[in-house]
Amino acid sequence: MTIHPVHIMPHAKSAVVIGNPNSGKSTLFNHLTGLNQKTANYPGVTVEKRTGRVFFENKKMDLIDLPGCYSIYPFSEDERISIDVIKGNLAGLSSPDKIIYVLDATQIYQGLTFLQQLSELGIPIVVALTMNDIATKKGIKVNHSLLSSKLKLPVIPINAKNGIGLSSLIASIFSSETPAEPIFSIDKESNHAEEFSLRFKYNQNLLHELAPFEKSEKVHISYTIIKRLVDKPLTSTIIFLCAMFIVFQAVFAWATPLMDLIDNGATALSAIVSSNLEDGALNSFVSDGIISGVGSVIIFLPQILILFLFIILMEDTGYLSRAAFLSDRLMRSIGLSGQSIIPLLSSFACAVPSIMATRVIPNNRDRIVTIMTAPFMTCSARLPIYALLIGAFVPQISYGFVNLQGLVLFGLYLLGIFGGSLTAVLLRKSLLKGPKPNFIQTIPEFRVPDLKSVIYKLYDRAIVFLKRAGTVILLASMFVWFLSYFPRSEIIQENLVFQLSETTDTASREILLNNAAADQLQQSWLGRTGRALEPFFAPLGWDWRVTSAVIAGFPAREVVVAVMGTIYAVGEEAENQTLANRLTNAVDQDGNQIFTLPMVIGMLIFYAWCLQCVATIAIIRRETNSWKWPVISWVYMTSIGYLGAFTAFQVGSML
Amino acid sequence: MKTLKDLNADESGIIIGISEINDDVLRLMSMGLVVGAEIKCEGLSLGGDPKFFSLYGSQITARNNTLHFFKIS
Ligand SMILES: Nc1nc2c(ncn2[C@@H]2O[C@H](COP(=O)(O)OP(=O)(O)O)[C@@H](O)[C@H]2O)c(=O)[nH]1
Repeated sequence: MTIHPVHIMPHAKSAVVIGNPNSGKSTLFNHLTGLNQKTANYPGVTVEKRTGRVFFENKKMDLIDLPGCYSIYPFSEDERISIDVIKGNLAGLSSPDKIIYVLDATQIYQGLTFLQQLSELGIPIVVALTMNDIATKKGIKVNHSLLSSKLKLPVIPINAKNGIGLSSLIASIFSSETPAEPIFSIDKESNHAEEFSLRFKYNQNLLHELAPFEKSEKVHISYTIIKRLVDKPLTSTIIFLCAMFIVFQAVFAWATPLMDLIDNGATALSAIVSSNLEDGALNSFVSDGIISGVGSVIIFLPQILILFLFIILMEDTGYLSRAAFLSDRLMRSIGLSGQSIIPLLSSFACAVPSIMATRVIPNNRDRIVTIMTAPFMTCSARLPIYALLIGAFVPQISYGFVNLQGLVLFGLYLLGIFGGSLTAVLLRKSLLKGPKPNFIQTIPEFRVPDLKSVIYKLYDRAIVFLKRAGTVILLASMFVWFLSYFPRSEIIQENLVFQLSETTDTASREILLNNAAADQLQQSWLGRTGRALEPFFAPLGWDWRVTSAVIAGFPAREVVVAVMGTIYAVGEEAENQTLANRLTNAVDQDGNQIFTLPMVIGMLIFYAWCLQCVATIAIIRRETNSWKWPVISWVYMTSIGYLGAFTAFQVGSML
Repeated sequence: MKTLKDLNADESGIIIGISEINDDVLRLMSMGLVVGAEIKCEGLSLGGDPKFFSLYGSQITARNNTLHFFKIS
């Protein structure tokens, strides 16, 4: 027997990548770690933890990408995490062995203060000097060896995008063992304001010695032109509106083929499963419960990815901060600030990632107002319902260029925005009263986005969306399936078997199957609940079938379309009619039409305002760390949805 | 006394005093708006508020209600 020597692997050292926001941290991190990275959560907090590995001569090191900060005194949730990680204050995570400080060559004045503070922690620091190419374009020349000797730290100029300097940076990170010496010591007694004044005074002097602005070469003309156009209020507002128009056009037009593809894929898969499994509960569970459930989530992925692609591009070119700046005025009128524009824009695809994007808002009160406003924006899950009801009940008339159906859809978007704005104003006057938010932000230079970073970021959002929304909606649709499938009635089943044996005509067999399915649904838990709650929804003009469908949609609103599809698949002609036609022809026991215009308008209002989405509720709970806000949000939105539908139906029926 | 709030596009000044310290003011100080800093107004939003400044290569936005605490010469 041979005994193999056991190699004891030393514990990998860890380093954090930190610096000011927009200094190029993530780009550097992505290029250093490549595919060796993963996203998880810090224990007990909502901020995502991005970690990865770098290798150098048989050695490896764990890297952590941290949200940017301006100083060691945090102002927002994101910044607090960074500081806690660096100081080793998070449970289960000791402070890092090394710091990679990312310093933007065009913003040395702003970047050095945080570096001064970090240099006092006694951790080895390597400075990665980024944006050298932009500095050159702006006519800034930084003498990095002089900077290095002043800071008493290694300073490595890099350009992560084309790999320049990365190998020297890695070598330097692995070899630096000596703790940083304080760059500039200040009196321990001084308060934060005094401290900032002293530290920036030091930066001014250092900048004077480095004289980066003096060796000024010619400033690039393209840079000046872009700056002229985008930084003037009028042209920039026009550009902003055009950009928004293109984004929404893209989200709705470009996504459609992909969504159809997914839809057809899910239908085909469901059919394959259906024909290969024996008829019964398992078959229905897999094809109707799981595949349709997952399909109903994934179908929104193209829209979400396209929207995020635009948002990431706008963010990485530096345009988004300018858009936020421009919209600050508008947002102020509803008690928010320009910082809320990014989350609210994302909300038009899906409220889940949008609510996560509110973390950049420093003030907690402002953040919660934004979180409560976000679910009102028309997300893509509302579209199938809008499309169904508008297609069925709004006539296809055009007034010149304007199409009535399109106009109604646009009106529903406005209704959502109106509901959200009203909510923000009300919250500001009641539960979340407080000083007006400010709008303090840095505006990065314009730059060409890095393809690799854009892809990573997009991938990240896709995974987060699929994981969070997917698991919750999947569980919810399994639950709805359960409610709508059980209990099974033996009598209906036996009748069906008997009737099927009587006929061989395919069309009549289909009708029999549909009728039986509808009968089963009627006496399922879902159907029974619909009947029990019918009196409550009767003032809205809804019968038990609409009520059941709406209840089924509480976990995920788009489910309502599928359930209506089953419930209304009854009767002789059902087979040859679209769902829209079936709804138009649906009547109650007395033969009265159910889907009257007032009822449909009411239902549209209900869907514009109601919070029918477990994924959103779950994310609000997670991001606010309490059940208070999700409960308030759900009760409030359901109530005003109900009231809106009630008013529309009652007033409309009187006219 | 002139404050940052009074700067128009393309005008510059040097911060000579800060009349009140609150969280927003501290935030701006952490970004480099301290006494002695040279600052230039780069642009205004429609209506003149918020404003957008540059200082030593960085560009920062803030609303007038905070900017008026920064006295300039
Ligand atoms: N021109 C140029 N752009 C860069 C450089 N490093 C990063 N960027 C770009 O700067 C933007 C912001 O970078 P990012 O890594 O997201 O910054 P973070 O906020 O610090 O993580 C992205 O569009 C990057 O592509 C660089 O050295 N030169």
